Amino acid sequence: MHNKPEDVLAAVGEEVFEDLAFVLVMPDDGSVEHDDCADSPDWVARIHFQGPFAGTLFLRVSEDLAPMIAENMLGLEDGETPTSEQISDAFKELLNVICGNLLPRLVGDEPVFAVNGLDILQEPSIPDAFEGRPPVATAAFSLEIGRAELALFTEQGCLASMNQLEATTGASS
Amino acid sequence: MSINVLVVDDSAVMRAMIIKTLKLAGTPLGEVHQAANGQEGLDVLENHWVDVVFADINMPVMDGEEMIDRIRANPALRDLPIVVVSTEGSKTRIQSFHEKDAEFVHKPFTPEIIRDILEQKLGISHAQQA
Repeated sequence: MHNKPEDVLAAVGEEVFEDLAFVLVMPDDGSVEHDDCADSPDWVARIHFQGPFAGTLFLRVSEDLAPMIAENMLGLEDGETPTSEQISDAFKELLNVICGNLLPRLVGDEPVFAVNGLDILQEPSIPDAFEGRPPVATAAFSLEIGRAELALFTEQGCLASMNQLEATTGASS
Repeated sequence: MSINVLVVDDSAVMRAMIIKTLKLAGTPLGEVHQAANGQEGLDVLENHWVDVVFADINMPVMDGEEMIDRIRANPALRDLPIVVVSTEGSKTRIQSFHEKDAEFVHKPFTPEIIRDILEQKLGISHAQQA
């Protein structure tokens, strides 16, 4: 079955938020907009990957959600608060796991990808374009606390590569 | 009987998650060692008795694959059980870990997956869970 990249991105994001960060994703009522609270000091990170095609995945989470992710992943007790280093670490690991689960769902488990350049950015939001190109897929999430969004940017012509790989390997089924 | 574990991952949060998951799975833990990369992991193994290693792959300084190769090349350590815990999704790469006699756990994981790997593949028994 052929799934659109944005559907796969949304599904993988939801699974990893719930299974790794133990944060419940609420049903999408269409209220989450990419530009919501664009001026708030949200957390934004990106990770690069290279393989049959190259790209960059961005994750943005609201300021109130980031500490909760770290608390849940660390299993902190009530009254314990994560350090800023732990929040950064948990946030980056969350993006790393989303990326690692996303790529085989898009193109199957045959291709080999290398990931690198996992960074937290000082920017308040995910850019509208990266290296001159718009995202090939975006997904926005309303969570039990706060909100999040993902944006996948890839090199030019990668959609054709994705479709070809998907057809070969039966990904996204 | 308790088991000594070494957890090698450049993410301190992921190391904490693995250790917590081992506890939730009822693993009878003895000493718990941590390392942030493959070289640090080898340093721990030089100085401590370890029963099983949980290792990430993508790490700075020395990645998990090189660490596994060095462990397998060391006569004193070559039979040490190793569990790769990674986001790797390539069948080819996962097969290469199996060829190095390492088990593979995909992130995210559950206590049941960790327990099953330790029991079925490594023969490490767990306490009965209430």
